[in-house]
Amino acid sequence: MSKLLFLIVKYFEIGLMSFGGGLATLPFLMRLAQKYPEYLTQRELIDIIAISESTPGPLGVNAASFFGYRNFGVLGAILTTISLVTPSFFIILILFNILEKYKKSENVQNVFKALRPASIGLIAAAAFSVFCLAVFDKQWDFNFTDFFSNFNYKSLILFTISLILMNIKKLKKVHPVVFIAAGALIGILLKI
Amino acid sequence: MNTQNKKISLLKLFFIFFKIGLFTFGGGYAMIPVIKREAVDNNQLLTEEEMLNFIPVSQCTPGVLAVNLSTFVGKKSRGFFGALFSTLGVITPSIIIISLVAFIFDKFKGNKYVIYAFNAIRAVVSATIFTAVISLAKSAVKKPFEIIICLLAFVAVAFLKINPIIVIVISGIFGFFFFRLKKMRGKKDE
Repeated sequence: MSKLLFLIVKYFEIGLMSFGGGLATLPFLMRLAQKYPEYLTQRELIDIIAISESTPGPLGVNAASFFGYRNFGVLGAILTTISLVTPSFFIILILFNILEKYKKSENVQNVFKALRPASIGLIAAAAFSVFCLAVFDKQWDFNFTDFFSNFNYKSLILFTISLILMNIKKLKKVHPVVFIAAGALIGILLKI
Repeated sequence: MNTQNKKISLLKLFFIFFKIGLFTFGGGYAMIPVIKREAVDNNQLLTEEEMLNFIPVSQCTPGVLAVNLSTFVGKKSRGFFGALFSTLGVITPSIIIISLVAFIFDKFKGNKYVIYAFNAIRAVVSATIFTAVISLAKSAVKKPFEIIICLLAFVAVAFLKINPIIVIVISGIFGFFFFRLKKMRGKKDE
């Protein structure tokens, strides 16, 4: 029971601290998985992100449901997801009548001028950490010989090709699920 | 058609947002046009202008963008309970679908082909996140101030392993004072 309460509190915290869409929850989730692998390992978290990107619904909500389900079944899925959306639910109800004032407030704008780039930096850090796990099979470590010991060149090639393809103008509209499905196929064929 | 004097039932509100949650892949910005079509065009819950006004506000509130928009539209149509029903509506499909998918996934996760597939998928997922970062940075990280904050946040979490919550709190406080001081100094110089 206390484990369930812990997840609820953590998800409430994530809902309160993530600014800027579903991916903004990612750095907090990576941290959670790193500190408390008994709930979910980082490798499992990345699998969950892949699945969340390939199923309908907002990514942050999907990942929350998966996290909860993995630990406490359907009840867990319901409770983590509700915890995630509770902070913003009440913040919006409170702000509703002063929306215009809030948006135009100079102090609010000043805070967000710094929060937005910081949030993007955090997502970049999460991307880096996912990259390290995918290609080096471990988290970044200043001990280089150890860090490079499990280097997987096939993964690096797959990453590079995917990144280039995704950023070609003509392919920008292609949904990530297409790349993920293609990746899965390549993985099975090449035994990555 | 006037939006204020025709009240929509709470159940209808729930199902409008249930449908939105069920049929949109990708979430976030991909959901904005769908919410607009359902809430503004098909059901007249609010005007297009009201919705356009709210998008920047929901970027300035924490949480998931698509959920925030749903809460707002619900509140606008039926007050507190409207907000409650539309928010629950948009998250319910995720809970059902993900529980099913997780159930199936857990059955097959020891299968060697599933392991190969997910080893490759991890590389692709990191490319999708980097791609999202690139497009976010293109729109919101341009000025030297923004580039410095973005890089510091990255280094703090990626290499120094600092808790992202601390980074968010410090950068918010920093923004609050930095621009105030800048404005004050600007006034002195004049």
